[in-house]
Amino acid sequence: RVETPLSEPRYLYYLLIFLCSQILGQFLCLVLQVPQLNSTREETRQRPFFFAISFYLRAQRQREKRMGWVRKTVDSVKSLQVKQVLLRAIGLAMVFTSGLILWKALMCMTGTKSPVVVVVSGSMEPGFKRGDALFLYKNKDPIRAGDIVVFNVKGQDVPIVHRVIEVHEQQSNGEIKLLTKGDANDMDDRFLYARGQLWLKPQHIMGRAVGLLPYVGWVTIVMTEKPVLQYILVGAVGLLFLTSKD
Amino acid sequence: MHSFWLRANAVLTFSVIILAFTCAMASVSDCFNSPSPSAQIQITNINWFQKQRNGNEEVSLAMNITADLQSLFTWNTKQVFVFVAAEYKTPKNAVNQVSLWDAIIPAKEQSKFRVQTVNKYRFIDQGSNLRGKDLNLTLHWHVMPKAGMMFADKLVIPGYRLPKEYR
Repeated sequence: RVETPLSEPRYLYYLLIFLCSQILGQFLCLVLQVPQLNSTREETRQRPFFFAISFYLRAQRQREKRMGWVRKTVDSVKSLQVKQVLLRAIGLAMVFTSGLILWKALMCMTGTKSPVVVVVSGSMEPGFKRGDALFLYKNKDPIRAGDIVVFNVKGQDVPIVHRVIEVHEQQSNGEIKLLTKGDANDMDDRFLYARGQLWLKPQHIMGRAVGLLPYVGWVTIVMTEKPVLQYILVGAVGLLFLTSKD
Repeated sequence: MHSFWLRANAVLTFSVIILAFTCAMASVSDCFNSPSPSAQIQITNINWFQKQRNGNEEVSLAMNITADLQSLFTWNTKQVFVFVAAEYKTPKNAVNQVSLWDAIIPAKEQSKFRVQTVNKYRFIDQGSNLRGKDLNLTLHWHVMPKAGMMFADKLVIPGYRLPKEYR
């Protein structure tokens, strides 16, 4: 039996958690933006409860006049600053969680753990060049010759994108044996498999490549090969977001 | 919306959206193409047919492959990957597909071809079931676009039979 993310309730729980966090974030933003109490003389007469508060505010204003203009602006900026920063931080968190929602939803729709992969080697040239992004899809259809599949070899963490050239499906138990080969390679992939492994099984296959976008994957390749760039990018985006006027 | 960075951000986002839309449209235009390819395969000779030491049988055959795949090409096609697979059934295996020969066709001008070749990849069975076996030789093609969805199809040519004795 082949596991797909749709059959795992864990991913649906993640989706639900992220959706709830979005709703919570929206609610918090609304609460933080509620206008402050307006303490005029007419209102204090109509609402005796706020009389005490208006008295306190007037006393504070007199204190402020005494403290001078500089102190007053510093105080107002500080109180404004906390609210602004909080709003900004919640906004950032919401953008982040909406990205995660999109990713998890895409995982559930395409049936694979990584709906988009980037071609790193040139073994499928001229069809797939280094830096192309591939869209993967996985369903219960059996893998047949000619399918371009993405698979992981045991012990290797980089998945490989190659074409299936041989399929043998057993009658008795439905067990399938696959052999793959890169288009630009002369030899089949037996030298890539684990020692003693002659065939691939469907559980090694992450998905079938169904679509292609050229050159888009270069961003990922550059960021993976120079991790410094990742930190610079995230830092710059965060800084821009927190310091922008709106 | 007046700082340089915000403007740059807006321009970048917009251009990415436009590019994605263009790629999607390019892929959609492929759906309007109704291809009508044709092909013929002849087995001209069985070069040899032996049983290996581990009990698996191996065949080497020479084929004449004629095909016209011009109607598969659109402006969004990068290449067409074509391969010939032998498909057969054995008592142990319900499905066997073994790729015998493949080629990459980069342009429409080269998609009408006639090839005489020996099988590029070894045709080895899982066991010894090939004597007198009926085969289908299927021509598969896989259209790989410049951007967008790939699609594949095949043409099944039945009626081939392997010899009853080893050669």
